[in-house]
Amino acid sequence: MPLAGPSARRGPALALALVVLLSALLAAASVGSVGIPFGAVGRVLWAGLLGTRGTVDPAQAAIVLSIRLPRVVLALVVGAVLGVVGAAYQGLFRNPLADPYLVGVSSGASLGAALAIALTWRFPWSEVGAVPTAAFGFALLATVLAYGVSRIGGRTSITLLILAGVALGSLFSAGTTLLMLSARDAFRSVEILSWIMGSLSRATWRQVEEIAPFAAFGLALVLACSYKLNVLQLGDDQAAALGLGVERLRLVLILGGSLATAAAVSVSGIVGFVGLVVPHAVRLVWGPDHRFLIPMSGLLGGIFLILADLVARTLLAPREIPLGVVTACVGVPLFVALLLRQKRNLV
Amino acid sequence: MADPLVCERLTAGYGRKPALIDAALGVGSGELVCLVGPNGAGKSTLIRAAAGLLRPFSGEVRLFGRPLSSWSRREMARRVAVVLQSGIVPPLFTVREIVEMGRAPFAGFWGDMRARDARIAEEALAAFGLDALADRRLGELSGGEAQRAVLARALAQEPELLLLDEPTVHLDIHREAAALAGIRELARRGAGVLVVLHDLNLASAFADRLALLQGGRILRAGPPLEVLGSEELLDAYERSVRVVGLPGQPERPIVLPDFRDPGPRYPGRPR
Repeated sequence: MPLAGPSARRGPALALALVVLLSALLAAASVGSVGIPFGAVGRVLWAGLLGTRGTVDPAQAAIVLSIRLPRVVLALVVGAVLGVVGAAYQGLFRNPLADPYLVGVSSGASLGAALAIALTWRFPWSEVGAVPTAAFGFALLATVLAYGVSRIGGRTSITLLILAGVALGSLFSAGTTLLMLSARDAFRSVEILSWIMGSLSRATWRQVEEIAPFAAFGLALVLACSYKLNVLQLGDDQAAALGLGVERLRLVLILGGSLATAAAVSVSGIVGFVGLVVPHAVRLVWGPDHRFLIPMSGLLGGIFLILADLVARTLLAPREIPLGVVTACVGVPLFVALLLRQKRNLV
Repeated sequence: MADPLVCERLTAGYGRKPALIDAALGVGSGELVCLVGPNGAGKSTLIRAAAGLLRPFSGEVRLFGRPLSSWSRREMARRVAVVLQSGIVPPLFTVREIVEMGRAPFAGFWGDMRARDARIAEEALAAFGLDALADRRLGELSGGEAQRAVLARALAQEPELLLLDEPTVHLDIHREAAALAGIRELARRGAGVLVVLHDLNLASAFADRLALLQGGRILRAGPPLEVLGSEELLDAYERSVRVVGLPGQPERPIVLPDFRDPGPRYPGRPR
């Protein structure tokens, strides 16, 4: 049955978003210290796909395929994860302030990264290096602790979960601060700080391969809960009375959400704003149906982060601006403008 | 066929304190039973325990002859509709989206519905006069309009048992009567209905039986006249109500505040 209202524009919007995504991909692969025309980027990508790299300029192929493309793909994955998990968490917690970092993921990841940097951990068994691995591990540890605290009498309390996440976050942040201030040389402190501010400058195909399975599995779990999240908006008990297993839904969403977010954060550092605001923007324009809201937030999150990373590495080149700074500076004015427009329409 | 709802020696509550004690109550097919009583009497607790949302301390709830614990949530939602006072009205959803959630227990994994589900939802919209509002967001509606959407959602479940906690809050007086007439009609077609009503007169007008609760106990249950005309009713409302028969319907009296009663006396208030 065709849905009227905002939902009528959903199909074309998804198609348009895909086109914009491809354009952003091409643009990000084309712009940089060495400009490569769109046409050449297209040819290189095509050759890369077909495995016929010999037919194109080897220098261009190296820049596009080995340097820029992994970074762009990583931006897409991280942005998509933050958008999807942000949308899902706002629905799960029925709280407009919820974001993917809510249950302690960001502070956990920061502490893990800070430990690895400050104590110069080496994990010979880890192919991506100690920092992402420690960040991933501590992000999951923080989530498990918060979830464990919130389970009282076999039932998760949402309020307790949020409080536990915030409290553990403070504790972990204190640890991170301590490590930063007591690091043996200032260089390490700066490294920790720049990790926390978010960056994709260390992107490699290896990282993409490492996080892809976690991100894919987590995103699949979250997307599978889309319709149930709609019903959950009626309140826990009312949703249960409509046949929903509320406890299991929560567990699945937090498991999937924190796996994907931990994987994303482990390679990008903390990139704020995307997971909070992109879902709000989608909801304001297309309505609250999670079956559309979640995938669209993923697409727009990916596009947004590709473009933000493009700005981060080109605006003050050869210096890089922290990604978290760019997402806030670009995104907040956009969001405020959207809010003002919607306010006129609604009120 | 077994009764839609039977509660036996049901004791339930929050934390350790029981809010409902030793309640025994049944709702038959086609029967409309109203729970009445002052605030904090245990009415909502009884609804929640019957809906399986509150694990009882002791006693038993049977739905259609089977113990509550043997029902899966989804299986139960296909036969029992519940409207809670604590339900949230999510402001950005449209009326149609909310009413279609009544088909959630029958829908597929993605909430995909068959043509039949969509038709039932449309009929429920029409039954509560919501056709014109179907594509409006709930946040744009009045409280009463939103409450009608909530009732239409329950109707869309095609329930054989309805458990309703104050379903007529925010409704205008004529809508109130229309909503209860709609619920009455469901009972006439064979559904059992257990409904909490704060308004004794509405309860008197529509119920087959009333159950009067106070302090967690069912003080009295029976036809409207029997319950409303009882000493227990006067006790429950601190003897400051009057029960009046209307000409033409002596078996369904109405209850008025006793305007002659000066009410509770506070220290310092002149006698």
